[in-house]
Amino acid sequence: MISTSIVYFIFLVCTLIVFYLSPVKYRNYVLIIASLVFYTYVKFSYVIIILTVISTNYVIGIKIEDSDTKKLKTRYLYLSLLINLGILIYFKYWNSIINNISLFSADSFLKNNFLLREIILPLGLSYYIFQTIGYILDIYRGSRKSEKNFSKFSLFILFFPKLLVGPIERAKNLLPQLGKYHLLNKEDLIAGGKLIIWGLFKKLVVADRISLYVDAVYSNLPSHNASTFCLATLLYPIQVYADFSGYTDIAIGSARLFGINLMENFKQPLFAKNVSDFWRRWHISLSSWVSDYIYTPIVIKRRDWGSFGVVYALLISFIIIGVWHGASWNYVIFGIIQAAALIYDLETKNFRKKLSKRIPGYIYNTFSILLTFLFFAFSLVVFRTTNLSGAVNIIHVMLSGSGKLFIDHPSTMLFIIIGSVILLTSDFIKEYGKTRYNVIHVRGWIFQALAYSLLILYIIVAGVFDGGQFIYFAF
Amino acid sequence: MINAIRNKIIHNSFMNFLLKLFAFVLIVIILDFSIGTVLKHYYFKQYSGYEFRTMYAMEETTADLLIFGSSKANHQYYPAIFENRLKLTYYNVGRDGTSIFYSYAILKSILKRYSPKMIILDITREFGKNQESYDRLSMLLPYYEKHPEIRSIIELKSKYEKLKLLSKIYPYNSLIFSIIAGNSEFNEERHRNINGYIPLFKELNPKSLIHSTPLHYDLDSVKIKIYESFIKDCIKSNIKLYIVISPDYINLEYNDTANIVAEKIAQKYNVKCFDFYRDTSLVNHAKYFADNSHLNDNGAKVFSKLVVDKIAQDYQKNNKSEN
Repeated sequence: MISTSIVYFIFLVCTLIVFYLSPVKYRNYVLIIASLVFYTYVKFSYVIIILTVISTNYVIGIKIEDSDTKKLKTRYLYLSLLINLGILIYFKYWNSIINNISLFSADSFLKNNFLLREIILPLGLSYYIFQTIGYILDIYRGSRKSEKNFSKFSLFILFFPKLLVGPIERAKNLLPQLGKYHLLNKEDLIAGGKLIIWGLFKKLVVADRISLYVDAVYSNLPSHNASTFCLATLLYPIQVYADFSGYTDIAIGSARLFGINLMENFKQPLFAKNVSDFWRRWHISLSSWVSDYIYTPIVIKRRDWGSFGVVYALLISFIIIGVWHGASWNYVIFGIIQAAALIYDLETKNFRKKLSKRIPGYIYNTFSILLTFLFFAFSLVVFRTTNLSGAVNIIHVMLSGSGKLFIDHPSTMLFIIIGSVILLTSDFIKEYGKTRYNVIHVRGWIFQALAYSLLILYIIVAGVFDGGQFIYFAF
Repeated sequence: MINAIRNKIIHNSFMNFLLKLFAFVLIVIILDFSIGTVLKHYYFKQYSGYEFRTMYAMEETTADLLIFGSSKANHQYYPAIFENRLKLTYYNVGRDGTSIFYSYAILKSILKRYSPKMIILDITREFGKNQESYDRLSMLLPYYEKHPEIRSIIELKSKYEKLKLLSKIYPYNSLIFSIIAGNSEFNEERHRNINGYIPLFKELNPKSLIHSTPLHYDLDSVKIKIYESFIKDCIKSNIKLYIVISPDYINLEYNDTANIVAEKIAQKYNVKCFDFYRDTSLVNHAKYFADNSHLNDNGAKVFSKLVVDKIAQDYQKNNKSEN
């Protein structure tokens, strides 16, 4: 049940009706049942895995808190990590690990005996495993108490709007909100509705339209030239941003309809002025999770290493961010490239500070934004291709050739341009302050109603609803 | 007292919210209806482009010979060769990226108006199971209201199609620029066609081939059923039907699974099926292909001669026996 489908919205409306008709004290149960139905609809066997994670970590959380000695707390922590990471590695990384180990051995013993043929990755697994580990680490460090109410803890993990695409929530933000519901708050309903519409625009109008073009290019690599690769490379970051942040907006908007505020996950990342700034704005729930639970502890532990400790921590953190996206070497390389850029940022901080004082602010900032965007776009070539040689080949073609730009239908490009301009203009306005030209933020409900009506209608006019829209690259 | 006032304020504020929500929904409905009506008007006024050719096929053509199928049908059957040899008027209703669903919907609309003398259905590798074939039924959405005979086919797209069609704009999703071009002068050069046939002038570079067609794949029983319905409807309307399997560039040792099924079903209904899938005069000749699956204009001429020879033989034999 993807959150842009009709089924999702029928499900959401039904859940909202039952939720608001139920007494406040039963609303957690309504949301738990709805979340279980939602996950069962995706695949029944996934429910068993998530229930295992919930029940074991609920008990372990309490045990860690109740343990008298640090040694015992640490044992429980390791048990939790073993269960959570074991499940994650088994379902997400096992086959990749076996395949990579097999590369170093001549016979196919490992492949024949340990490769899992029927393995299916449970949707949302990485999100809820990271969320659970964060909760357990908080208790272990003593920064929060364990949750004794099982229904509340279950909902913390299960809450359906964020189950499949995040954000990776923190216990300190989400747990206190569960159970404290308003009778009916119209501000929540309006804000949630607006976010959902905007998320649908990002996903269906911008991301899915660009993906038609980018997919047509990447699925026929030998047929394309430098100009086409350059355009696909520049469009891909906008696609990924619109796709991921679109889903996140729908998730945050859906949660808001129930009066629950999920954390912000994207903050105009395409207007970042350097790579460090970019990672403070992009997939914030993951980057802040890695920062809190991996980067900072390593920096503290390796403080006697000086700046090498920071470099080491960055490298480890970004390899984890890379691998989090999937079990493939191109994600590892993507992580290393990001880490290298952050190290460069760190080393040149003083120089850039001096430079910024000599150049007018608007020129310096514009160049910084463009350079950061270009860096991210080119680093995504590794992310988008399934193998490193493909990425190297694309970059080689881009640097050495030229050629006629592939445009299948002018309408595809027009839809892409209009969608991207609306998205980037909205982000620009959010970044540099509200103006009277921003119709989405104007006061006065008539103008807002008109603006959002037009946005809905534009989604119906220009959205990509299924595989009905396609680029026929055959000729 | 305080509680009563508080309740009244909450109640009024909530009523106010409900009224605004109702007004918002009303604005959306009115705008959807107005914009949808304008799009519909201009969609059916087009005089060129893909949408125009679908509309022409469904509502206007009266040709004796119709070519049905997907892109292979659209780019591989050279009109003059068929017209001169068979002495029949020709129109090509094939369209890129379509499946047997589209062909059957077009046939049903045509049969409501008239029965052509002959139909050639290109059915090469048609029955593979894939969601795209269903999704691409969106090409027929503008006809849902006007052509009740094809509704059951459009509804194969998804069970929520009827619900989505409550929106008047939805049938014209992603078509706004095509509609503008289809109603403007500057589109004269768009998809230039000869009686529906669109020639491809590119020549295949064999080095650019990166994937071959899989030999074994799951077959879609719904597609096979629709194929059978297509044959039955032609027989019922006394239309001379020929099934053709056209070549791919790459020569495969074995025939494609779907092609074998298509031939067997044709045999079952006593319909002639001509298989050129591994025809040595075309296969592996890059100069005749635009890409792995489509013949270019030169290839189309060679292929059309091969097809028309077979058809003429059978057609004349049948005509003699009827006389």
